[in-house]
Amino acid sequence: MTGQWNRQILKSFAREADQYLFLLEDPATSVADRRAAAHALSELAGTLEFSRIRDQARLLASQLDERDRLDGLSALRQSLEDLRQIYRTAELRTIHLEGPEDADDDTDPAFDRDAHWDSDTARVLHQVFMDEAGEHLDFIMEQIVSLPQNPGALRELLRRTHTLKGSAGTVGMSAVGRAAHRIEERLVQLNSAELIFGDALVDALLSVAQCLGALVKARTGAEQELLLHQLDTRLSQLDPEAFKRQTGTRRKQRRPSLTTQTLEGANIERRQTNDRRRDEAGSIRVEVGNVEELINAADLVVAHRADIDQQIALLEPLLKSLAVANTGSAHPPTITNPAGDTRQAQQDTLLSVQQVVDTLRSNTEGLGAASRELQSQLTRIRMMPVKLLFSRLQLPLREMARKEGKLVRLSTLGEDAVLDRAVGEQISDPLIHLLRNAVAHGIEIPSIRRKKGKPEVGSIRLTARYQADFLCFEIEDDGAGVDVAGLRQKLLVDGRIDDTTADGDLLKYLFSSGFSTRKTVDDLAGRGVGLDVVQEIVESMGGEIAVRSRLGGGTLFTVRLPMATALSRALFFRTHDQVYGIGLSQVVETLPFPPDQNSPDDGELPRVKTRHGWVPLIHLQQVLTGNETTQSPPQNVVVVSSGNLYFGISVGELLGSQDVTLKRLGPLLRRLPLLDSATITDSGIVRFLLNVAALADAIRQDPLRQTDTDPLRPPARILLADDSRPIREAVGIILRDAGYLVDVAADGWEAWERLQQRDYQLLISDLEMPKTHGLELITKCRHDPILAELPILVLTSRSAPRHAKASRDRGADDFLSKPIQPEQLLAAAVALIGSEIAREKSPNGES
Amino acid sequence: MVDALVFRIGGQRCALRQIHFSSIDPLGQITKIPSAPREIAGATPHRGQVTVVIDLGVLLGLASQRPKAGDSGILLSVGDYRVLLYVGQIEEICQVPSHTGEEGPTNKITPYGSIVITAEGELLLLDPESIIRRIVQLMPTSVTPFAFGEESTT
Repeated sequence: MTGQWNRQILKSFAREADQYLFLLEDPATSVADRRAAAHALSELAGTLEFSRIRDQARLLASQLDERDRLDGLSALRQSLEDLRQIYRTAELRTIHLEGPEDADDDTDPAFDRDAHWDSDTARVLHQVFMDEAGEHLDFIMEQIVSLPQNPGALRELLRRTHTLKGSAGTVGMSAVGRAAHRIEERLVQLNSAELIFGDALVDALLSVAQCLGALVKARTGAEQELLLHQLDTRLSQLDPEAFKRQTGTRRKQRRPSLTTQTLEGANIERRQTNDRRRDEAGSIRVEVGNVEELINAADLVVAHRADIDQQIALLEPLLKSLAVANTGSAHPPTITNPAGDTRQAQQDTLLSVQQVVDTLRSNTEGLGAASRELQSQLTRIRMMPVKLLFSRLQLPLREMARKEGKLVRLSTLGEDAVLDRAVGEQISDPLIHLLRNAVAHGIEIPSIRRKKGKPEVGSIRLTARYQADFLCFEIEDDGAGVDVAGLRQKLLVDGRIDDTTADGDLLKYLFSSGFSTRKTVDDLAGRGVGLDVVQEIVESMGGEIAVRSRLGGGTLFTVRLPMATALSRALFFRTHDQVYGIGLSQVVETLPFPPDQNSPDDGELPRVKTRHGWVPLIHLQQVLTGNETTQSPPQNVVVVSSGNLYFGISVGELLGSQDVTLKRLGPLLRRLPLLDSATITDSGIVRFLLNVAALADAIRQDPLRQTDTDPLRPPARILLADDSRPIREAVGIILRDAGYLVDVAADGWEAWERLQQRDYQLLISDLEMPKTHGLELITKCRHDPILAELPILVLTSRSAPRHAKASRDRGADDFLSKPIQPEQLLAAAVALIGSEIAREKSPNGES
Repeated sequence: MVDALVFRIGGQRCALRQIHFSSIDPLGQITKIPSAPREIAGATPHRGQVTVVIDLGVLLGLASQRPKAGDSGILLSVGDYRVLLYVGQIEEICQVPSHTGEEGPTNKITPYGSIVITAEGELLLLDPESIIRRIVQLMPTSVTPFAFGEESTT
């Protein structure tokens, strides 16, 4: 079976196995986490049929299970060594030996020539590495910055550097691997010293991390060598002695001065210092209210400019009337063609007025561009990334957990979302309160969690995501959940409810003023004030808050806040008796129809001549109606760009451009790829803005050439949710080879997010996944009005009948246990998706 | 028995349980949505949001007039989906038998709800989730430079 898996899968396995090994070896890893790592490695190896690794990992897991009695640390080490030996020398070595000797000439020069990958694989791996390295480096930077508040971040730093080293080695980026190795060695030294985690250490570490980042991006060997040299210089400044706790003054003495460094190093240091100073000088704190006033002022500028446009438009006919009155011609006189002497004075005046009007028009156009830019920049200033908001919550959470004697890990999702800065300022405290609530009421102390069979470290997940015109925050913990029976009892005693109150209505009383479920009062909770205030703040912002909870399973708070609307400028036109718009930033030029165009060959789009050359032309009316014969002839062509593609769109009457307030489309309309957003006019009419990117995609796919397939009936799309990358890749290959479109999700939560974003014909889900368990994912789907009937296939290493029963009870349609049997998997997919779509799977359109 | 809004569309008496809708509001100007299925009459401004108007008559395959500005729409919120349902002539709010979810002599299940028997005859008690689910199924998901969508006039 092993021979069936391609190198990339094996490599992914190697990388994942390496991470488990690191966890197993790390003395800071808890027994529970080690046990989980051993089990996970055993399952992973079993799934891919690496039987020896599976057996060793299983043995290791069993030793860990018995560790308390046997204290078998030496056996553990031996097992680890055995495992490592097998892992290194047996199966995975063969991957390298089997590979081609040289990389392709097109491969990145930073990619080692002795890396044994074929050129296509090398390119893919390099891209994967670059993506991952970017994430690693972002994480490393964050950890470094957090060190003064969280010295434990040094371990995370070490762990991530180790992972980066492993990844670099895997893909043949040996210079990066060497650099990461040197950094790792220094971090190990730092980790074993008692350090002062002050700004000096942070600066030194950041300098090293920046160098590593530059190495990742380096394109030539010479560049790499230079950076490695610089890295050594910087690492030499990271001497643990210089940052030890008792030697504050000594640290200063030991820190190398500029004069002791090479000239090159000194220049780099100076540049960094200058950069830092420039960064510091480049940001100021501004009151949100002041920004609001600026935005209002910019709005007024835009409005007044529009007024001036109108006044200029009125001047034009007046000038013509004057010209007729003075010269008998509809055209004002020009300098080169003055009128007769008798009217010279009036004509000179007329000419001067015309020149003033021309200048005014020109200046107004400049003012228009400047005011649009002003408005756009100010709108941008007002927004802040959710990441910034989330980063502010980390520290309070850690403090709360420490006070409570609880172990908590906060994971965040959706940090790329942006929100109005004013909203961010207001929502910060309520979110902190909800986190505090999760720590105080939700997460249990480690000993209780152990007894309940939960990991010692509790999990709190903080998520931000858009929902129509709302930004939603979710705070979910895996703690004790709300004891509804106890809650009922307390509410009855308090006289807040009577016996007829349904269970489903009880949780809302958590938001009642003066109510607390906690029996004792401390700094964190129990005073009965808090959630009512949170609700009050959220509602004052036009939002809403809801809570769901499961006894023993945790609690989920959802906060929905209205989004601030966005301003944009769009070009509007009429087509097929309706007005549409396109974002002005995407419009390149407009041309009268019919422009120069060529006759297309069969199955090709016509092309029109623009200042960017000949570009494809699509007829919007045909796209909108699905009718190839146009009912009303086009009048204009709007040339647009999307990425590097220019193309023309034939439209009717051009109506001009306008500043508009954009409205996000709801989930129903977001399913229509042609629509980007909408605006509501002053007279209450919805106008849609077209999605130029979707049109561009359609042109790129060139469906007209696909005569053997129906472009409206694409192959079935499957979502594959599994936390193991090798499994995702292995199953993905099987399904894609069979002609399916496959999207993947690395955990249950990501799968749920993807299911909200597009239609799938089948969900294949693992059971044991982080963030959202497979069973929970199935349940969520079955309770969702849209996903209730989505076919779901469970693919898991949990082969016991009770897992199959639990899956089916929750609503899974079929259940397969690993290891993966391709024929069985495909048969199940065909059965669940249906024969009609299965027929479409063939890439050649064959049955 | 449950409280429900009863209305008549294309000769068919239908009802929506009161707990299944938020409000009844006049429709604003309706803008046609390119490529949308016929069951969607268009989009209209509603409380500052662009809101889809579903024509129940078309969805049920019953002859009815298309909605226009000023007609009444029933606001349905199902999960993240928020739509206005145009139902024709609204008759009354009254109590109607609830459906049991199982087939029976007085309770037939249809794709959009259950038919229950009342003193005035058969009544289709609608299920909002089924309506939204069907609309989602009808939405096209791809664009081609020529043919796009289901609404073809050829």
